[in-house]
Amino acid sequence: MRKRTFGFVALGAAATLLLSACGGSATGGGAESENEFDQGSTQIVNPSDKTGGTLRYAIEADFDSADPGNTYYGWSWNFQRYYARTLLSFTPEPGEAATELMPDLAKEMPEPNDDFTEWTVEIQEGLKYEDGSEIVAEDIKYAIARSNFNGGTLTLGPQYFAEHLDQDDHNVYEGSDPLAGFDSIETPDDHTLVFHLKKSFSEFPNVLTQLQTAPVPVEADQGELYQENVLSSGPYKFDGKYQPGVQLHLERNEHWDPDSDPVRPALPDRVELEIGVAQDEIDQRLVNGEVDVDARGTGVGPAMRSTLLDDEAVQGNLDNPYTGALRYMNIHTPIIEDVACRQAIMYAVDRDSMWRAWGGEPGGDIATNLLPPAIPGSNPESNLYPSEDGKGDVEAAQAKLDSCGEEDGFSTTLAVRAENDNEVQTAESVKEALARVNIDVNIESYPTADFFGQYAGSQDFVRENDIGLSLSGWGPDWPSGYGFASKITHGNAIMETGNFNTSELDDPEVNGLWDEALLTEDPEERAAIYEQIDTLVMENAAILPVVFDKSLIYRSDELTNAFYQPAFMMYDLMPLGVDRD
Amino acid sequence: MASTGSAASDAVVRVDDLRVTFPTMDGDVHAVKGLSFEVPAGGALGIVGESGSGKSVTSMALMGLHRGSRAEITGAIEVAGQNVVTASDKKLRQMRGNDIAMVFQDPMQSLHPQYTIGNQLIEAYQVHHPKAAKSKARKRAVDALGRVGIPEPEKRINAYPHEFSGGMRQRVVIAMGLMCDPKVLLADEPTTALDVTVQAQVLDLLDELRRDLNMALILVSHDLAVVAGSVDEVVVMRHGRVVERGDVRDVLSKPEHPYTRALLDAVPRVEVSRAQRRAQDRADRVARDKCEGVVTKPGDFKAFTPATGEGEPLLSVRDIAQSFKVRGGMWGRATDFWAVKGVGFDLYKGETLGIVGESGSGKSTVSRMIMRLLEPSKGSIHFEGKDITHMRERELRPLRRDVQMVFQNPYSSLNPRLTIGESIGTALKVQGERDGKKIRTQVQDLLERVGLEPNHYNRFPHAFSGGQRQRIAIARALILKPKLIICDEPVSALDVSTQDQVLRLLSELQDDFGLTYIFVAHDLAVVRQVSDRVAVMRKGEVVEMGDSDSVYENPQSDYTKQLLTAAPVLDPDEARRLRAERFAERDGAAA
Amino acid sequence: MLNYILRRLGAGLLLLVVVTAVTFWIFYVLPRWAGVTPQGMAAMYVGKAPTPEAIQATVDRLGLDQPIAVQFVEFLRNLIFGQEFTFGRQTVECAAPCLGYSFSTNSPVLPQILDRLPVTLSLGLGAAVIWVVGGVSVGVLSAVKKGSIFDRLAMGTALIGVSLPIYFTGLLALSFLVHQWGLFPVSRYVPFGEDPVSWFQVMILPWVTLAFLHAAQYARQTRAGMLETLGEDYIRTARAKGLSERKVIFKHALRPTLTPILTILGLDIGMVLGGAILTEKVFSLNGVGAYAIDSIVSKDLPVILGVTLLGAVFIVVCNLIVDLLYPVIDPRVRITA
Repeated sequence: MRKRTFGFVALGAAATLLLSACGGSATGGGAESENEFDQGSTQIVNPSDKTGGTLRYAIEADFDSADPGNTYYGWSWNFQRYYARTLLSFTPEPGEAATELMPDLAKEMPEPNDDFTEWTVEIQEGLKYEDGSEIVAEDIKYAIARSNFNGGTLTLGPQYFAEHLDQDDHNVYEGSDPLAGFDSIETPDDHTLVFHLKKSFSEFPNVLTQLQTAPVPVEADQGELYQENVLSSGPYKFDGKYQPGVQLHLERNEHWDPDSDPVRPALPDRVELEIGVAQDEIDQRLVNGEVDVDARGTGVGPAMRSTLLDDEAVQGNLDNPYTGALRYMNIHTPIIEDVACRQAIMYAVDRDSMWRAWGGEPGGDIATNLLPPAIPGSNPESNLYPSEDGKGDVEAAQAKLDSCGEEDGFSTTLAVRAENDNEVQTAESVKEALARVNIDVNIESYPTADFFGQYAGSQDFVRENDIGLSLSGWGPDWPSGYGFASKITHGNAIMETGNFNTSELDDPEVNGLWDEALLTEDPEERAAIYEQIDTLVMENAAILPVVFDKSLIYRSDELTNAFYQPAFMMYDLMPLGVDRD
Repeated sequence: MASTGSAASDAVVRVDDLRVTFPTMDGDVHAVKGLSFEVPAGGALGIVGESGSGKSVTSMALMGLHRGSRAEITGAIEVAGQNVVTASDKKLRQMRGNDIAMVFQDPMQSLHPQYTIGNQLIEAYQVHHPKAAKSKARKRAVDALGRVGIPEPEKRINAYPHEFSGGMRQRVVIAMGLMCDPKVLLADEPTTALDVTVQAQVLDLLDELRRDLNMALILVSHDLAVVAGSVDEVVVMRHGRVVERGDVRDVLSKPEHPYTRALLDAVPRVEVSRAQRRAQDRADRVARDKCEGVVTKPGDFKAFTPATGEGEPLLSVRDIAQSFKVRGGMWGRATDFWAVKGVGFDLYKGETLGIVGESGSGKSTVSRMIMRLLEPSKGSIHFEGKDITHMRERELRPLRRDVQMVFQNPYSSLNPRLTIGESIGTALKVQGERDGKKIRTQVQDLLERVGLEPNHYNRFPHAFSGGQRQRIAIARALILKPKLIICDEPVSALDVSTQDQVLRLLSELQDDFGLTYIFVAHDLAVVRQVSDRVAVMRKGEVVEMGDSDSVYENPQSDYTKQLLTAAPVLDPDEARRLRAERFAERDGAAA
Repeated sequence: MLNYILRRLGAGLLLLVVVTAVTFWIFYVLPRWAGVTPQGMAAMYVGKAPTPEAIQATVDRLGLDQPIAVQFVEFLRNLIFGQEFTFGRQTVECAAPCLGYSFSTNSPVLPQILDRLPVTLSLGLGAAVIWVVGGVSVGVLSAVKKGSIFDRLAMGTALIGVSLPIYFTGLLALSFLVHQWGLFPVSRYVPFGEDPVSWFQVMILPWVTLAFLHAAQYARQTRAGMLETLGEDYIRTARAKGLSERKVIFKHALRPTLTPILTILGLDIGMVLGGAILTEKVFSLNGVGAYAIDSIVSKDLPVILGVTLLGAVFIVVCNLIVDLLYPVIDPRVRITA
């Protein structure tokens, strides 16, 4: 292990020597790329099955946790699949097919009962962990149990299982038998799992793609410390401990059987993730070919962004995909109670200037609906509050104000995250636009880390400080209307603190449609319901969409099989390989 | 080093038409304008002058220490046959310390604080004898230290300069000068920073060495009395020129030049009493006023002749003592050091009490206790009948106005960033005066009163000479119309003529305002001339106190006698006699 | 002497307790005053789906609802006597001095700090050598050749050096020397014991960048001190002895000049060892400083307390060393306390 670190350093030195010989343009020299701008958004770029080499990742901020059962970062869900196989997976293909599901550990797709409250799935036989022991159904059951029923030990991951499984209070870390009494998942044999849900949930298979379904044997679990040495079920295993904030190196897992895995070609011999590298430094190394992929997947930082956009020679190395997120403004229904007053705001804002606040063309598209374009049921063409050139319809806004009895306008407070420049500029734009109809907006900025915990996401704080508006952004947990929007529009999702349904929309019709969707098996029918919800939310004027933002990603020519996977809102990391001479 | 043999072969130092010029932005400053003298082997020359006379520039030139600066030197300086002006740097370095050694003014500063004296002495030898064995150099160092009277030189050679007293340090510097048997010893103000008794010892030592080792001695000083007993010939300098030159007896007894006469007159003489001095000052003042057309009635002064012993004393001090915590030794146990142990006196309005003593006598501590800058450990102090011994800072506010202090170094006690007007006026503001115009008028009146110009108000301290600064400090003390002024060594940093003027000013102010002074100084003659009563302090105790004339003319304590014999006198023969007396006493003690 | 050291260490210990208390106060008491509930604090460590149950469990686990004083005493007790932690079904002994486990990554704080310490030590000490040697030599030369072109150039550069922040010089150096011209390898920290050559290659740029900032200050200090010392009477004495100028400068003038610089050096090294945050961040070195800043961003209290304590320890120790060295360099100084 030590020797290899040394080898890496030597390699780095050799690479720089090579570079300096090229005369060093800002873009690392070499020939212009044969690929096209934004090619990776829709196609596999540099398809190859060449194996070997080291795939080098770098990232600025650490994992929330390297434990697959305890993580909620998008890139982490993508990356940890190197060592954690899940029951199901998204299809590793570009374009629309990417959001379809396929089996990973599972033999076939799970079977629901009639009302989607019971799901049965079988896993493949003969699967092994990195130590050669066999993966059995009970390990998956335990992994799920520990991730959601742990007495507050592991709190960072999603809580879909806790929400949906028909399970009484349980804590795997109490009592001598961790699974005694955990009967919401049955394991009739070593290769079958039966899930019992409280309520109908047609999109349950999406939850089964999550890392929490990666198997963990009871004996291997060390609670919070498990992340230091995760027992791999995937093609790679930890090479030494995970060092928080420093690095995670992966080497091949000899016990992984490629034939059992339709998702991971596992091309490189080694995967190295360097943590704590400054964003500007990552971007620079990326462009110089000293790093292959920025693991965060949200593209280059603002400094490099403008450099790259201006450089003709690198256009073929750039992808400009949707991040999958919606940037929007919450209109808080308990503060601005009259729907007409909220609609006045929807009319009055200047969408064009807000779009510019996000960087215009490469920054994203003007959003006039709720669901991002990659999600089935999205209709970006829909626009309930049209205006000429998107500059806002002042007359319509004034008419709405008249009808809600606030002819002379009113004043309210807009909460923004202090560290987010785009949002601060958006807020300025909102203030200016609303002033046209005498709505006086007072902008208050709050620290990002506590924005939802203590400020805009705290019911008390919002009421005490009369905060009528707040800026926010949201990405899907999985690419469906439910996976994207239920947490921000369903009345059940309203929380006292940490409230992401920040507008506190609690519309019976919307709630009913969400529940209906969960009973609907056909994805296309569900998509139709989601489109209805989208329209209703717009009518309620609870969420004012700003942009579907886009990232700018630098794609190295040495990187093979790069394509944008909307389910992860970044490149699918599993197929990636390197082709170096 | 062979003499070049030209000119007077017995002269080891020959200076001929020496001119030193410093080019500055405002034109050339001619520090020395044509100086000539020579010193024979074993002879002794005194160079006397006040600050700015060019005497120190001359002594630096003798060592070639102006090299590397912008000074332009013309004329000839020949030391032991070598021309200092034209010699190469290397030659010059060979000469320094070897042919001519120098003893500087401030022994506290002229030794490197971070090396042992042994190291510094040995270095002085080795630089001219690079091949000499270390043990030999060390032996020479021990010998030299013994020669200058450092006790236990074997042991003390490993000590650091700060472990010696000022007088001992000056002996070390002299020992360093002796390391290479120089032909000339150049001593520039070697005793200025020292106490009288120590001064006498150092001068005695220089005289003895010169005779025993047949060195030529050049003694540079601002004080005629210092050179009087130690040199054969004297050169009096003023503004870079020689005003008078000749045999020391002739110059001192029959001065030809008016400047020399004035200088001699300004020297405070220990034999002049307070009454004589005051009468003289008043007469001078009447004469001066007459010239200016002011009529002074003789009766004006009478009002302020002190009322002796009658009525309520202004200040009553009873048996005060002050201790400081001193940590010492490896284990850092604190012990009490009594800086003052039991001092008491009464002071009446219009009276002046002189406190005289050497450094460490506790005289400054007494004045700081009276100012209540220190809280006495024992005893009591009453001011105007009020017990102020342990008063708290807030209650002390009226005292802060009624008692003022004038310090030795007026420069460091004036804020360089404030104009002198502001400096003086601040006190009024602190006491609550708001009208800026009123303050200005009052300050300007006072400036005039202490002999400065009203338009000096807006100048900064650096624009003033030492004497003027002391006048500013006095004005600052007077602005609040205090009842008592404590002068702590107010004139010891000043030239004799300036010193005389400041003393006169203090005396006039006492006449005009009925001021009461406590005058703290080490100079016996100065103290006598301003004090009605005198307290002689030693090691925290008053060894003798009384009416000043009786203390000086009929001293009771041995210490007072010792001080009086050590005081330098202007008469060369008297000086030699006193020296002989001191030697006899020392040898007697040794025997 | 021993007594003195013990007393100083005692005072240092007291200082550490005070530093801990103040840090504690800032991160535990202040938020409460601002109205943040224990639940609100716990919410920071619960992730994106903060269910009330998870939050309450975190509050219990971290003891956030206990009175501040109890939490503080608990912290000190664990520091001195160690603590047992339960992870899942396992109990792990955290031996004294136990700084606890990170709230956000659950990794033990002390080993994490010790893992990163070599990086910070390499950076700090290496840079210190460069800035002292560089700064002092330039300062001496400038003083000796006062007013010369060299002097003006050096002091001008020093002024720039003092005023340019690390993230400017550091990023500039990275962008040109590493990425554009490839003069230095792109790499992360390599332990000295593994490969001294690579270690040197990786560290040289951070050293120089950090040293540049400090060297400027040292050059200016040295020059000023040297000029002052050259005006001292004992320098004149040394010249009057016939010593050569070289000896005057290097034996007589340099030592007093360096004496006050030693004090600054002690403080500077103490500070840098506590974590040269900007340098570590700019050069993506995973040292204590980077750890500190990450912990502050994520409000990871045990880590914040840990690195603050470490920084304080370094400052206390470096100052003690300086104070002990002082009498050696300057015999006038006697150790009294």
